[in-house]
Amino acid sequence: MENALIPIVVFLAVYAAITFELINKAVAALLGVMVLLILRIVDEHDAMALIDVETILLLLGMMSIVAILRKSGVFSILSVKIAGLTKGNPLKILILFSIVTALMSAFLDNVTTVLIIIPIIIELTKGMGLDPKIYVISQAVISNIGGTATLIGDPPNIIIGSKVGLTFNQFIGNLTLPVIISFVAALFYIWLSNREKFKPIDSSMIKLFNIQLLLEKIHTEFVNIHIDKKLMIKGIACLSIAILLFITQTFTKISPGVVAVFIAMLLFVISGVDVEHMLEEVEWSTLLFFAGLFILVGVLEHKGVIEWVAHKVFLNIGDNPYVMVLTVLWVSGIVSGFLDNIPFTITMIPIVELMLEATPIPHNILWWALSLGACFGGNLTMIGASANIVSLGIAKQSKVHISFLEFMKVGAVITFITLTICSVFLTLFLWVTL
Amino acid sequence: MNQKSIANMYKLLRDLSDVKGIARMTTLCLEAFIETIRQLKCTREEVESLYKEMAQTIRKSQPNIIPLMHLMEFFELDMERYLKPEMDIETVGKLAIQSLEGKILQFKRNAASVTENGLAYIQNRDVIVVHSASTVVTNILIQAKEKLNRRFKVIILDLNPERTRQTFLALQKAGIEHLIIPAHNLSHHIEEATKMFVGAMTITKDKKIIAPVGTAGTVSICRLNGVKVHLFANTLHYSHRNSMDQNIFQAQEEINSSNMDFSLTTHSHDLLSLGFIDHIVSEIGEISEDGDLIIPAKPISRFYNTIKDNEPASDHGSVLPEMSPA
Repeated sequence: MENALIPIVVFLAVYAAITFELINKAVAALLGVMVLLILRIVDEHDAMALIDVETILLLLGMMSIVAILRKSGVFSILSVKIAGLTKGNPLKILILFSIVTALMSAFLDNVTTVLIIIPIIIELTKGMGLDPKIYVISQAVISNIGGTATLIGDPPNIIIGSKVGLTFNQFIGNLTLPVIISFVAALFYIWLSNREKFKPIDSSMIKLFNIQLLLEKIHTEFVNIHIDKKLMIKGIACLSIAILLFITQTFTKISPGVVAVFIAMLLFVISGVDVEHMLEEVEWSTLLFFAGLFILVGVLEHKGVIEWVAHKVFLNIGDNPYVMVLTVLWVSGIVSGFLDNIPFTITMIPIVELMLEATPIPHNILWWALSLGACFGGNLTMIGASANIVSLGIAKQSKVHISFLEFMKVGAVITFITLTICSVFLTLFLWVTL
Repeated sequence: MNQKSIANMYKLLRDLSDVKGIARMTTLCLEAFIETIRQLKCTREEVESLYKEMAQTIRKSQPNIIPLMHLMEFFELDMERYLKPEMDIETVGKLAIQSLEGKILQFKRNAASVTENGLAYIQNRDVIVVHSASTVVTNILIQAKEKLNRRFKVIILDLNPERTRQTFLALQKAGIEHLIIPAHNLSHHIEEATKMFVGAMTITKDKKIIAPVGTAGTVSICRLNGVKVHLFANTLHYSHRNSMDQNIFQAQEEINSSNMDFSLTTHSHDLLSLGFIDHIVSEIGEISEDGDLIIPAKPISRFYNTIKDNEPASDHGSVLPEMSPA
């Protein structure tokens, strides 16, 4: 570990700034990089080489596709149809919206999903005289669970998939089962702990009447205003092609990042949208944040810091694969609850690589442990995942205040339940494999 | 009854009538009432009082939606007349739904008649100003183009984006020439205007009209410039109460702007004198502000002021006598 002090201090300072939201995440990461460049810890060319372009391409492509799809109004239509199907039944609202949220976050990013779902669910539940809090928390939690199922569903998966070279099919094939079980368990817990709130409203005429008016209002507000059928068809067709190419990656050998950007550019051309306007919808700050973090962690790796941490912390636990898998799962889960899971995953990747060098574990089980831990751990606290912060922000705008503890009361139990399910799943997986 | 739910309901009614218009709102409420009856779970002993309570709550909405109020009164009368203690809960529900369906039919029939009568008021080369176009006004414009092939232009005053959007789409689909302008810019186009069409939520006993916000100002400009103002409203919109008793919603908002704190008072609807209207067209033809018939459109079955708030007319859309209650 030569000349590692400055990179470590810079890295910790950036981490602290991100965790306590002292400054913008992207600014914090890039400021850290600039300090390293000015102090000649790393030069510009080496720094650029540390960025994982595949991850950036995949994010850029998916953000562009989602921006166009959002403009078409397809998500609003879907949500309003679901609102109609619930007929104002509280339990149906929870279940149907959760299914949509889980599916949407599996194929889109979680923040986009909650940005679409949360305003509608608040409007619906608030108008019905229900307490929207549990619905907001449930959708944030479910978006984190649903996003875990695919390569493109959650940033930790995008990072793991790109850096390690795991395919879309490998993610779906290995993570769908624990995700589905966790989804059902989370919903069951939410229902069980709030049974009174989910009782059907069928004895109050005023409330029943209000539900009918409310569904009409939601339909008018969310559907009538933003519909572009042609754009919708083109957007859905392109997203389907992208998913098809992700699935057939083994045969086509085209990486997901290339697929995403190619399809996004194709969609820009055929949709005739205002490209400048659409590019404004891309979350450039997130992309810059990723790029900065890759450089910061890359420098630490080059200076031997990661190896040192791996030896001191993770490699000290011995070479028992069961202990290794469960340690990675639970440590990732708990740490991701308090720290942003994106920098955590980027930091953990070289550590897991070192662990695998020391004790190989077949079928990428250690990577699945990292993915499940980092994604599900986001449910532990309201700052654990971007979707939580955005959901609670939207709720606050609608005068629904959810405190840190209110979120944690639900989130912590669900994190414990889902990580326990994953522990059982991974242990069985390992037992069958070994 | 839960006051919060009632306040919620009145807010929903206001929000929806702002974008849907009173005609659509009336049928929408009746449909919602039917669906509510279908979903309600209660005992036989409770059912009648629950229906009555619901109808009364709707009648007291802020502001009063007069067509709906009349129809609710007729509904209550139907319930009083035809419900028998020996009826089971399913039959009571069926009767209530049939009565409400009859009210929807009646309202639609009246609105269709107003539309038909309104066609006579559009001539070729007319330039018609519309403000928060009601369903009836929009239908008159569309049918004048489609059925009578009249060539005219419509100036849509943009006040409520959703209403503007609905009117724009309807006129565009019908191929009617139109121009959308901000409501406060009407003075720049008033020279070319020949007529103004308005709908109304209520026509009150003291000869006032309760209409969407901004209508009073627009009507005044038209009057000052000699543009004839036409009001299209079926007789269910007539109330036998004064304008001050219409429960118009008033809100007070604390404003903090440019270092000034002040309280802003707003009303959900405008009030304007019926005297400002040149032509009042109902389902029975054109009538004067005193209720005298000027131009009958068809044989009169009843005169508009036979509908009293607490005294229903004989023809009030009841279909109950035709059914055979258990």
